[in-house]
Amino acid sequence: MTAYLTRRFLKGLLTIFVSVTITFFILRLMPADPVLLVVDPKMGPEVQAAMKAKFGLDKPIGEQYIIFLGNLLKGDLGLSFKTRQPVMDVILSKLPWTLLLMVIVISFSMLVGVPVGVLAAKNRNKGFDRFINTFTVFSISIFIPFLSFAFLYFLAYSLKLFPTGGAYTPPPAKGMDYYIDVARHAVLPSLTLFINQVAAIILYTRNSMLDVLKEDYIRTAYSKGWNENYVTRVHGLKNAMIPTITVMGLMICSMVGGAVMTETVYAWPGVGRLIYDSVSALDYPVLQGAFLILSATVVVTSILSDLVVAWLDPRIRLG
Amino acid sequence: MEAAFLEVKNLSKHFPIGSNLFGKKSLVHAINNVSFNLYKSETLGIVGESGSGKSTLGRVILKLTEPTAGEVIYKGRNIFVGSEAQIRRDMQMVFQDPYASLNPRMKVGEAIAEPLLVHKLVSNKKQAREKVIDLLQIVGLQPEMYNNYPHEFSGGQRQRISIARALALQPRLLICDEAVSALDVSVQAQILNLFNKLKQDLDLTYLFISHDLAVIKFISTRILIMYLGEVMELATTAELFSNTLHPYTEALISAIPEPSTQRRKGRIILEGDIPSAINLPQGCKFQTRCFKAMPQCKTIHPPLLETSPNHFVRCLLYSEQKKEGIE
Repeated sequence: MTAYLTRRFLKGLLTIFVSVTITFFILRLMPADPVLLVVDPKMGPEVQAAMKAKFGLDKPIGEQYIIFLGNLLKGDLGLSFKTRQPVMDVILSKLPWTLLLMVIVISFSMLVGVPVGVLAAKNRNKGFDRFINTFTVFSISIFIPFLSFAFLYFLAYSLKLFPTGGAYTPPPAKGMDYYIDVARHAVLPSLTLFINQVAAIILYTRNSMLDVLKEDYIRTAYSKGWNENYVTRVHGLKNAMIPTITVMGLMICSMVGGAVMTETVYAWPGVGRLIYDSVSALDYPVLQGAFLILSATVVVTSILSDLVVAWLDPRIRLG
Repeated sequence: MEAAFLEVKNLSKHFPIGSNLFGKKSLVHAINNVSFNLYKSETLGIVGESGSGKSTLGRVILKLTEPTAGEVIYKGRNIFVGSEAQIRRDMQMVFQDPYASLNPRMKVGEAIAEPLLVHKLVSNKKQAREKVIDLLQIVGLQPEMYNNYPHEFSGGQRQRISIARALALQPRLLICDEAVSALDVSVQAQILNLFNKLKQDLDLTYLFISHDLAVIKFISTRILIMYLGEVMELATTAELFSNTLHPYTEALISAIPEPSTQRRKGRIILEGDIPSAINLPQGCKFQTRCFKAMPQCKTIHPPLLETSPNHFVRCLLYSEQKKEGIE
């Protein structure tokens, strides 16, 4: 087990290294010159040179890369071109907002998606199942900004039920009021993402439940004398959860990278919004940091979900 | 004649399948009007090709599927009316595929203990554990296998686990649905011997479903031949093999492999496949493949006749002879 974890960890580090490298070079292939953003043409030539040197933009790309890696090992992601703050601080100030959104969306998706999926599987091809199938196709294929604008227009603008954007009403309130305020702001972005994500959970739970319920051991369980609820829960669901757990792992990965579109439309101050802003501002260091966090999450989540799946299914041997 | 242990009366099971463009549903006639008696301490073998309704029959008798029509009388009561707890306790089934019929996520000890817990035959986990260890030993497994998972066992061991699971409730009737067909021939023999030993030790009655006539001949005291959901012939094993009446039974018997290098004589090879159970043939169900078919077989559906005591056959050859009084 220790050997397995060590091996997975080292492979993970390699993955992160490759991803960081690719990010570094791809960003520099963008057809725009960040020097123009950092350096004001009105500055004197000495000041320009000094600014370039401060951000390391005066050296050739290869050397920039070596310096970047060296700093990375020291835990230094550099300074943001735009705000001149350390990248780590910028990302850490945005990450909690994205995590909040992620926890809300994933817990609700699991709480709603798994039971609905099971119910749909048990009522296959009946009215409920057909409705759910239509709903999942709809919610997987809908364009998120469209849904967001619809919510904003009807729920926020026309009915004034929810605020139109941001994570709290500035200036932040104190104590309980602050949490209530944040919760009200979180409703629409969460709902948008929930509609999109719950569909995947429902779909996977329903389909793997259909497969499992056809298995011979389900019939065996009935012949032992258990009632339908027990058979579905203990013999069915536990076996059917494995694909759902894997999907949940992938969902966590995609959401840590920030739901770029959702966060942008709702002006939610998370990582997704940060990525959007940084791309517009050619803020390389911040983008590098954001993608580093993303690849680290992918690595950690995939190790964790493999461990959970191995714990769920004794046939899977780690190693 | 002693009283029947279990009476199957006019049992039918039709499965609706899909619907065509105009919403008309088709029916699969899995079993049609099947009646027979099962006597205490006998082993009734049920033989037939794939699709003849053997497994459905077993499942309906065990109340795992509701029948379309008919009754199964057990202890003077139709099992399809009222509670199923008694039926679950007295009748258990050993299923075909020992690889698929055990929950992969459950330790085998727990899987065997489940029936004890659901029927509250034990008051706590410790008692259940002791019972399970007894059962493991009865079927020839070691007690320390309690904590292993199904994938750690061979096919034969898994089937022993399935048998232990079925025996947990001390049933009186054991329905074995192709219980050995997924196993190697050598392992088949071990399991069949285990079945025979358990029958004597525990005074069991068996309903043994198989497509393998050699297995059925070895284990059964009486044999029922099924074809397309109907009983074709029913007789004691000795009678069936010495005085075969139905052409289908003849064909099945001639198809039993013989361990001999001599050229086989008199093999009856049936043409074609078993017809679809959706569009059943007119008249006799077997007439499309029968090598003794007569013109009237296409129109007249033969009744099940008792030609000699306890020998039933469904074939016009014998009803015609009876009618015209020629031998």
